[in-house]
Amino acid sequence: MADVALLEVRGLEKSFGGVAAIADLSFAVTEGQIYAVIGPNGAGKTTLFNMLSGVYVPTDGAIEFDDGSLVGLAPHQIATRGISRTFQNLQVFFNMTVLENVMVGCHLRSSIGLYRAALRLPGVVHEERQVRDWALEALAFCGLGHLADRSADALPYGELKRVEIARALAAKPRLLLMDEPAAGLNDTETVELRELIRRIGESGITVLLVEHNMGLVMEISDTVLVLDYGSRLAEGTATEIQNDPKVIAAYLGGEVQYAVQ
Amino acid sequence: MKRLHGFFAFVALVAMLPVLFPDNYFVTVVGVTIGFNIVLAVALNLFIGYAGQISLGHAAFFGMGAYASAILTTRYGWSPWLAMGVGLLAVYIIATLISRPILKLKGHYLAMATLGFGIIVNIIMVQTVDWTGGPDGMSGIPGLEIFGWAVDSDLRWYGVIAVVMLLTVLVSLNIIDSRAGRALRAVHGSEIAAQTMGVDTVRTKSQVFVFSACLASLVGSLFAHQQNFVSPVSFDFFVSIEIVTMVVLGGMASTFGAVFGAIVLTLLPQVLVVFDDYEILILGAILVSIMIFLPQGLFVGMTQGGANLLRRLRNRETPARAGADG
Ligand SMILES: Nc1ncnc2c1ncn2[C@@H]1O[C@H](COP(=O)(O)OP(=O)(O)OP(=O)(O)O)[C@@H](O)[C@H]1O
Ligand SMILES: [Mg+2]
Repeated sequence: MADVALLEVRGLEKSFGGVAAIADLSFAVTEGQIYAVIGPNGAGKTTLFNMLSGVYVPTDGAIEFDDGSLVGLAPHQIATRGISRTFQNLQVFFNMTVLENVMVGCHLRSSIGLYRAALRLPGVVHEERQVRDWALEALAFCGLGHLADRSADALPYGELKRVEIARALAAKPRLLLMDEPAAGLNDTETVELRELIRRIGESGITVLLVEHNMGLVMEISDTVLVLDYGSRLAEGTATEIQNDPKVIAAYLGGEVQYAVQ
Repeated sequence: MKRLHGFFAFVALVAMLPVLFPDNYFVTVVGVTIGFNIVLAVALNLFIGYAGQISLGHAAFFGMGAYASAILTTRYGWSPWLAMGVGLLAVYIIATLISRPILKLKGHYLAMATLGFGIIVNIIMVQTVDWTGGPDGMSGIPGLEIFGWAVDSDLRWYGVIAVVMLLTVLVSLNIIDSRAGRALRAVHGSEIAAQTMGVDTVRTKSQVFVFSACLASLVGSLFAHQQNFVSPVSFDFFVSIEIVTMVVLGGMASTFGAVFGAIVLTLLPQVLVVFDDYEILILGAILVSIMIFLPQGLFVGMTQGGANLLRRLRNRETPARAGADG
């Protein structure tokens, strides 16, 4: 591997009212990797994502992305750097169609503002068509092409989770943060998701994956980081993690072993 | 253009009415008031219905436009168009200045802040008697002339307001169906998701707040010239509430919902005057029943209800036909 870190986190810390959700966390993600972050409930995985995407400001520490610091940037500024994300608790725009949801993902790839749109000045129609094509492309990539014109609030949970992925992909990110994409999916949907994440990785996008489904994590991740109480418990390849006594102890030997089979 | 089918039908209706009923009070007199209200409601709907925010002080901007025109034309002899432009600029600046601190607030707090703003502006209108004439208002505001064509009859005013109103509706439809409109709706749907998709939500909200204020200012100026008179009651707290009611009544996040809400809420009191003392009671009862039985609003509720009914009728037809074939 070329070992150029796309994302580097150093000494990261986040506390809520004195209680540390993330404490002295350091790790680096190489470009092109599928990098998984696992850990028990409350380990701080979502808190980490919220700091990486600018939703929370770290209490301390550094986040370097592509040689620039992300600390202190607002979420929409971090988006311009090429980071996109999905949410553990659905954050779909239920007041729009599936296509429109994904078109919002193209926000930074387009530029027409309120006043030009109001007067529908030249260029508006062209850009609209372009954005629509990009969004349809992202939908097709996620296997949702046939649902484009459906209202988002009429879709089942599993498809909504994929709408979020399509929306994030429509931004053409360099780094995609996925927070428990398999949660609530049935077995078939989970297999489809696994293939989707593989294809996302193959398309050159670096993926940071938070997931409780160990089977999925172990199958597709290049590197796995195990968090416990906001700190690193272990880091390594899937095989290394599965055989790490500390990890096995933390999971009471259950989940990780089970996933090996 | 399928996108604008509804709009063209509406244009046809607005154009037909004065031809069919040239001397009808409800068309040429009430119609002009309806036109003003549609502009106010459609503009505010962008902020309330689409972006999911609240403003209980929007009449203040309507009033600022009106008073700018009234004061500059009567006291300083400015041309109405220049006065209108200066009023618009002033509202643009004031709305921009207050939007940043105010739009950091959400929900009830935003409601309180905009309410406070509206009340302060109204108090200024009442108190600065030397400028505004105080509670008695200002009269003698000149009419409007468009390239030498004097807008001096009810019918002509109907024409002018109709054009302004239709342009506002068109602009609203254009915005909603664009990148900027999707950003607005995204702010409503999930502010956090909108941000992580690159939408500067503070700027988006502020921009549409200012835009909506500017439209209110423009229509305020026209109102001053059409009425030839302004007084603070036309721009007080109750007017702000009335505009919000129009948006909610017609159906939030629907341009034609706002249009419909403005029409109904302007016409109802006119029709209900026959009930004399009970007018306000009956109006209240009607509004409450609408919100109970059609919570998505009149227009949205009825169009959806209509679509559902059509679908049910069609579904009933299909098996019957299949039976006949078999
Ligand atoms: N906004 C907040 N305010 C206070 N405490 C918070 C906040 N966000 C997270 N926490 C706390 O930080 C800790 C880590 O939470 P986080 O949601 O990051 O865990 P997680 O690893 O994502 O868990 P799960 O697997 O259940 O999603 C928890 O103890 C949680 O209560
Ligand atoms: Mg979580």
